[in-house]
Amino acid sequence: MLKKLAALLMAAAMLLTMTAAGAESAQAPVTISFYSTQAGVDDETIALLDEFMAQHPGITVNYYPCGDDQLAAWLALYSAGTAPTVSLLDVGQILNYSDYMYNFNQSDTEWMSHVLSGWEFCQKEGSDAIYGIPSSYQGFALLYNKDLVAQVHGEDFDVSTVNTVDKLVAFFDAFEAAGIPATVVFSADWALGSHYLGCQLFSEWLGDKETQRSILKGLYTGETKLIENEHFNNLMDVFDILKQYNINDADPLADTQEGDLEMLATGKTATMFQGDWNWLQIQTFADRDELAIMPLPLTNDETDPRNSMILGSCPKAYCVDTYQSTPEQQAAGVELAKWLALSDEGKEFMVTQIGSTLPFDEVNVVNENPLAVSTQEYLNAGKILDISTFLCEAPSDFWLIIGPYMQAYLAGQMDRATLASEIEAYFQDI
Amino acid sequence: MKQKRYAGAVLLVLALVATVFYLFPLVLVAINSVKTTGEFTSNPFSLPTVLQWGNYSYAFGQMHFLTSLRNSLVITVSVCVLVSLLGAMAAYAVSRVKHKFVATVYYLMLASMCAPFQAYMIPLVKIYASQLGMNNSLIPVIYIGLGLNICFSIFLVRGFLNSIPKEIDEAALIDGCSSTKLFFNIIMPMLTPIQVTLLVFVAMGVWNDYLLSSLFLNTQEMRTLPMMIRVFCAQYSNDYAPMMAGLVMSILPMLAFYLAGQKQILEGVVQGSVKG
Amino acid sequence: MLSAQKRDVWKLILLFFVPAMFVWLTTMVIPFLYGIWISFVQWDGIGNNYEFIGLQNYIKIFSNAKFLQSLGRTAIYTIGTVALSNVLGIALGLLLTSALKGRNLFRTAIFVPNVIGGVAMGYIWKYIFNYGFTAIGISLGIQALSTSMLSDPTKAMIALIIVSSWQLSAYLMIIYVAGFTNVPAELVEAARVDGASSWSVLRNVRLPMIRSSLTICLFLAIVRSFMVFEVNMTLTDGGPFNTTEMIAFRIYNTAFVSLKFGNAQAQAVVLFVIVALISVCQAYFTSKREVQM
Repeated sequence: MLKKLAALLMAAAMLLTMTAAGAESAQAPVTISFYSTQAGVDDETIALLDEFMAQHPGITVNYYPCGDDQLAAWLALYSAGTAPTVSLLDVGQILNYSDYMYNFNQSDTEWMSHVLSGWEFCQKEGSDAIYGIPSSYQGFALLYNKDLVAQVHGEDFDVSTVNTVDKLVAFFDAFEAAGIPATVVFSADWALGSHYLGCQLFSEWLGDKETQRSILKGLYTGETKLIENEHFNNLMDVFDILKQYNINDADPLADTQEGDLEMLATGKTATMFQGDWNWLQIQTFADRDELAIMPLPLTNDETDPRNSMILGSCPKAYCVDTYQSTPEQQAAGVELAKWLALSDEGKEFMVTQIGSTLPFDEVNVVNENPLAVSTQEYLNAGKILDISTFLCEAPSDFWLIIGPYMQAYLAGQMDRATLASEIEAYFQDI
Repeated sequence: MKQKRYAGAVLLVLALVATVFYLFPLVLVAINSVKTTGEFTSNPFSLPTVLQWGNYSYAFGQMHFLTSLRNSLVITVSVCVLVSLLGAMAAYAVSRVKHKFVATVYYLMLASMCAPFQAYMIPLVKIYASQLGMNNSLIPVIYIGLGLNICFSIFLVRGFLNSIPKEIDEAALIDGCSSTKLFFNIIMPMLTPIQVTLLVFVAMGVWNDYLLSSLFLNTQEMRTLPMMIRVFCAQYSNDYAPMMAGLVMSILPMLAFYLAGQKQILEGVVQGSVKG
Repeated sequence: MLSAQKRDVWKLILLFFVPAMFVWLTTMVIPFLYGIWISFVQWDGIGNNYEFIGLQNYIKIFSNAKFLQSLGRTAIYTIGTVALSNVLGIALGLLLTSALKGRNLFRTAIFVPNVIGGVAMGYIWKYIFNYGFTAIGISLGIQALSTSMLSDPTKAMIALIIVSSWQLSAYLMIIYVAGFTNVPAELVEAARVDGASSWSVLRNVRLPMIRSSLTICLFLAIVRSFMVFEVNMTLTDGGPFNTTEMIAFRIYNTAFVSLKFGNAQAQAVVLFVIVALISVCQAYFTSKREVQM
C-alpha cells in the first residue's frame, strides 16, 4: 500500500513539475501584459500581439483572456499584484478605477485629432484627463429585415420616412396586416435596463454633455420626477407600442437573444431594437435575410432631429495601469494601447474579427458587417445621439437593478408610475 | 411467481422513466453537438439534417483541447490523490482519538463547509498570488482545491470508520503493530469503497470548477477545460454547436473514471462494508 | 502503559490530523477571517485604501428589504430542494438496489448528466423550459404549459427547484445506493417472515438503517442549496424581474457588478452564520439518532 501511495505521489509531483516548466518566459527589456474583455477571439488576439512584438523588439506582451465574468478575473489580477499593463475594458469600468489609470492627455496627443468627435474620450466631469483610447464604435437602433420591408412596403420604401411615432405605428400595422408580427422585444435585464432605458433616457439632450448630465444629477438629488418628465414618458409610450406589437407578447419574458435574432433574421418578425453588434450572432445562422438599421422615433414632430438619429458611442477603450506597473512598463503599455487602437493591424482586427465600426477618421478596411456599415454612415453624417454620458457616468449596476423593473413592466406586472418611483428610489439608495 | 414478474416489469418501467428524465438533457447536448448553431437556435429538439462532425474538430482546435485537458487532469488527479490520503488520515484521527481538541476542530471544519466561496475568494488571491507569488500556476489551484475538499472528505470517511470495529485496531496494536502501520496496512485498504465514492464527488467538483481556476490561471496555456469551453461565448454572441461538441469531449474522461469507480464501489458493496 | 497510550494519541494527532488541519487553516480559515475583516471596511476592490466603517455594512444589509427577501426565498428554495432531492435520491436508491434487470446500466445512465457542470446544464434546461415544454403545451392545448415556467415568479422558483433536484438527487443516489446495499438481507427477511408488508419493512427496517446516509445527504443538500449559484445564474438569471435571485448570486452581483465589496462580504458572513448553525445542528442531531451497528 505504501509503495502504491509513493508511486501515486511521485506521479503527481512529476505532473506538477511538468506544468511548472511551461511558465517561464524569455528575458526581454520589458514585459507587459494585455487583458481583453473582447471574448471569443483569443487566438486571433494572440496573433495580433505577436505582430506587435515583431514590430517592437524589446517589448514582450503576455495575453490574459477574460472569462464570462470580466471584472472578477480582472480584479483578481490586481489582487495578485499582477495588474495587466493594458486592459480593454468597458468605459464605465475604466472611470470607476480611474485612480489607477494612465492619463493619455499629457504626452503625445496627436492621435486625438483622428478621433471623430470629442465625445468618445474616457473623461471624468471637471477634469481634462483622458483615461482611455476608444477601441470601437457601436450603434444602437431598430434593426429591420430588409426583405420583409420590401415585401410589405414595396421595394422603394425609404425607412427614413418613418420619423414620427404615428408613422412607426403605421409602419408596424402594415406588417401585422400582412400577417407578420412587427417586432420582437428582447427581454434580458441588461437589454431592457441598459440598452433601451438607460442609453435613451440619459441621451435626451442634443449636443451638450452638461444637459445630459443634468438628468443624472437630478436623479441623485431627488429633484427629477420621472413621471412628469416628458422624455421618460415618450420613451415609455414607444415602449408600450413595442410591447403591443411584440411577437412574444403572450409570454414576453421567455425568450433568448439567439432565439429573437433568429426570428428577425429568418423573416418571422420584421424589427428588433438592439444594435449593430448583433451581426456576430446572426452570422452563425446559415439561413438569413438581409438586415439593416433605422432610427426609433420617440416623438410626433417630423422636424425633431432626434427622430432621424440613432444612438451610438464607444463602449470599450484601452487603458494603461499606473498602480502596479513600472514607468517603463507604462511607456510600453501606452505604445501598445495606441498601436492596438490606431495601427492598420489593430483597426483591421477590430473591423474583421469583431465586426465593429471605428470612431477614427482614417479607416481603410472594408467592413463585412452591414449593420456596422450603417452605423458608420450615421456617424459620418453626424446623425448620432451620443450615449457616452450613460455608459461612463451612470452607476455600474443600473441595468442590474432597473432591468428587472423593466421586465416587470414588460410583463404587465408593474405600471409606469411605480417604475418611475423605483428608479428614483434606486438613485436615492446609492 | 406471476406477481414477481409483474413487479419486475413495474420496476423496469420506473427505471426507464427515471432514465429518460435524467438523461434527456445530456442527449440534447449530444444531438446538438452535430448540428449547426442556427439549427440549434431555431429548434433545439430537431434532429440534425446533415451531421456536422466538423464541430468536434473545430472545438478541439479552439479549446486547445490537449493543453487544457492536461491542465484539468493534473489538477483533478493531484487533488484527488492528496484529498484521499490526507482526508483519510485525519478522519482516522477524528474517529479514534477521543480528545477535545480534535473534536472541536472537527466541528469547526464542518461549519467551515458552510462558508460561501465568494466570501474568501479575493483574500485567497491576495494571500497566494500576491504574498506568496503563486500566480498563473496550477499549484495554488491544487492546494486550494485540496483545502476546499478536505473537510468533506474527513466528514465522509469518519462516518465509515466509525463502523469499523475498534477491536481490529486493538488486536493489531496488541500484536505490536505501530499506529502508522496499522492505518496504512490494515485500515486504508478497508476504506477503498468509501474512498472511491468520495473521489467521484471530489473529481466531479474539481473537474467542473470554473471560479477558482479563473482566479489563478491567467494565460491561455494554463487554462482548464471548463475555462476553455467559454471561447465559444463572446459578449453578444454564442456559438452553441461547437460548444456542445466541446462539452461532450470534456465529459468523456470523467465518464470513464465514473465507470471504473462504479465497479469499485460495487465490489466494495459486495464485500458488505459500505456505510455511506 | 497509560503514558504509551497517551503518546500514541499525540502521535495520531500530529501525524494524521495536523496536516489536514494545516491545509484547512491556510485555505479556509485565514482567508475567511481576512474576508470578515473586509466586511467592516469600504473598499474599491483594488487599492489599499480600506476605510474602516465598523458595523455600517451590516446595518445597511439588514435595513435592505431586498437582502432579506433574497434570504427568505433562498430558505424556501432550500426547503424545496432538500426535500425533493432527498425523496428522489431515496427513491432512486431503492429502485437501483431492487431486483431490477440491468441496474448497473441504469445507475450509470442516471448519474452521467452530473458530469456536465452546472453552467452548461442551466442553459440546456432554459431551452427545455422556454421552447420544449411550451411547444408541448401549445400542441396539446394545455394552457398552463403553453407559457414558459421561467416567466412566472412562482413557477420559475419551482423550475429552479426541479433542475437543482434533478442534479443533486443523482449525486445523493450514490450515497443512498450504498446505504441500502448495506442493510443486512437477514433483517429484511426476518421482518418479512414476521408478516410485515413491504411498506412496513421499508418504514421500520430499511429507512432507519440508512440514517447515516441520510445525515450526509441532508447536510450536503442543505449546504449546496444555500450556496446555489451557477444554476441560478444560467437558468433564471434571477428573473423574472428579480424574483429568483438567491443569496449567493446576489453576493456575487453586489461585489462584481455594484462594486460594493464590503457590503458583499457582510452578506456572505451572515449567510455563513445561518448555514453553519442550521447544518451543524442538523448533522449533530441526525447523527445522534443513527442506528449504531
